[in-house]
Amino acid sequence: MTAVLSHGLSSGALAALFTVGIALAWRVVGLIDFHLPAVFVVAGYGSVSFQDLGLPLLPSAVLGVGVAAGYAALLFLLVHRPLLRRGANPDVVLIATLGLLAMAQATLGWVYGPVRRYPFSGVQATVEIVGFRFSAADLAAIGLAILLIPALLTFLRRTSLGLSLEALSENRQLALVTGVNEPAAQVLTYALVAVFAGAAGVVSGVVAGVDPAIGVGPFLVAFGAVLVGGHQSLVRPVVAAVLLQIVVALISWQLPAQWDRTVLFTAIVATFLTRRIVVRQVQRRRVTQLAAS
Amino acid sequence: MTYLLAVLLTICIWTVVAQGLVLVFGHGGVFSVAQIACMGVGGYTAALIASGYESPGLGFLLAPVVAAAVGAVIGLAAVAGAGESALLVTFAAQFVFEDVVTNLRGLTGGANGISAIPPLTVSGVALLDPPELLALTVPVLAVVALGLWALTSSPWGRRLRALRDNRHAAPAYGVPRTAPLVQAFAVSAGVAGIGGALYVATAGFVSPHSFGLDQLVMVLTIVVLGGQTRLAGAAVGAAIVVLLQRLPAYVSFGGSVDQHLPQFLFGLLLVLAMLLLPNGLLRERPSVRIEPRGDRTSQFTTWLSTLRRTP
Repeated sequence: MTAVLSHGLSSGALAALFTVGIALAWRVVGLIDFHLPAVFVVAGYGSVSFQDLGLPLLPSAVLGVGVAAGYAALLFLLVHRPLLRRGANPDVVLIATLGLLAMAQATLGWVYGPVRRYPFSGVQATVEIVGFRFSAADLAAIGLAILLIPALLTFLRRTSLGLSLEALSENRQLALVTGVNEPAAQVLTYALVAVFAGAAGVVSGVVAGVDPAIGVGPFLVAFGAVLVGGHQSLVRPVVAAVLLQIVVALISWQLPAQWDRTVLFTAIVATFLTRRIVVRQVQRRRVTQLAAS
Repeated sequence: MTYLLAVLLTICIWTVVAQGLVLVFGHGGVFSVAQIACMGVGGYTAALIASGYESPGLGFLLAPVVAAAVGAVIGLAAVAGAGESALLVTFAAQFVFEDVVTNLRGLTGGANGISAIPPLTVSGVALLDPPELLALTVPVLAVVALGLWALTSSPWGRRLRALRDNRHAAPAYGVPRTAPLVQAFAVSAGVAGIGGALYVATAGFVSPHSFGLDQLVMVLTIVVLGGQTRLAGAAVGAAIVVLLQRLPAYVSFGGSVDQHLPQFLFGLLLVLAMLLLPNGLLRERPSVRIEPRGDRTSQFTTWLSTLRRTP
């Protein structure tokens, strides 16, 4: 049971990192980016490549995330930004990002081959904390989530640069009037998004390995958490991601491992639909009360 | 000649599948990625009945029915959530489909799939070669295209487009909020099921790899490139995409590149189409001509008033 909970906690931390990236892109730039699974994978492959060059564990991981951030910012300038500038509707941007994902998967498959690579495969140590046994990768996921998410929230609320990103997400027109440099803010947002997606990619690589298609599943889990928690907040999607992963770990405990994905997506869709129905009922009741008064 | 007919056959099958997506995405405005899962449901239904009961004809007929039923359930969940949730629900449907057909080994053959499926027979003649299969596929494509054209040209089709253009205003003019979209999902899935059954009749085997994310990118490219709202656009897109898919047969760059080249090209086409041709090669034709007077809101309400049911 404790093993199941510690697995749920570490998967939740991993999903929380990716969730923050998706929610940030949606809030500030206003797009759902289906290309983020490629950023997730690029970070994993980046760390593998630096490790192949002989670099130690930590610098390889940091450089892998850096490569992913540069890659995401470059593609944002080449594809996303031109589409946003001409006011393309969200479906158009979404399809373009799906195209980018297909291109990235094909390129990575060609460069690295179909075999799954395992960065930091030597890291096998486990630690017991209050009866819960965690692997090094589990601790890395939880530690990164505890470190990076509050750091981002502090950056967004306490620095002028962060406040300009918040202003763009709250009221774009007013933010532009007050002198916020939108292109620069969007590129910065994308670099931050890539840091979170990339960090999730590197840690996920330690647990599950890296292959060109591995980012899609975690992306959809995180996207589901954003839908359940709502993209207006950064905290609620994180809580949703962690709770969903713990609940799914508990459900999957009794089932064969090959049904994990089915259980996960069924749980996400069921939670989201239930939340939507409850919210609608509450809204209807309020309207009825207002009409009666 | 046989090779050319085989290419034509593939184009016809993908046109059928893409035309189903045109209905939901182009006319309904719901971005669905469950089209390949529905095609797979049709394909597996046809394969299971053909293999288990030695009745390929019955399998071919039941494939769209089962796929439409599954599509209606997916549609209900997708439309209930509204907005971006349709994307999540339809993607979840794709993943659940892949897991079910891979894990239920006793029924579906698991990752190896089902092979040696008995061929369709018409008047005692087994449909094995491209010319015979084309003789079945072309009339099926014609019936599907005509049926979808009739549907999209009908008041039902206009209601669907009204929901796409303004999901809040349309119900105020008497357009049901969810029913047309769920019906569109069911019809679209049924059409994808026909495509799946045709695929099984042509290939003679079926496996989870036949209905994966690669095929999803392929059908999206077809619809986006040809024109999201035009049934003829699906045929144009399918012709371009199927020929691109066969490119490594003519221009070889070596094993690994050839393997990934089609997917790369489909992705590139999606990006370029969105940057340069966001409406696709064939643009939408307005179904009702509105006199250019008044502002856009009054034009829209004039158009919506044509959808009202007469008492």
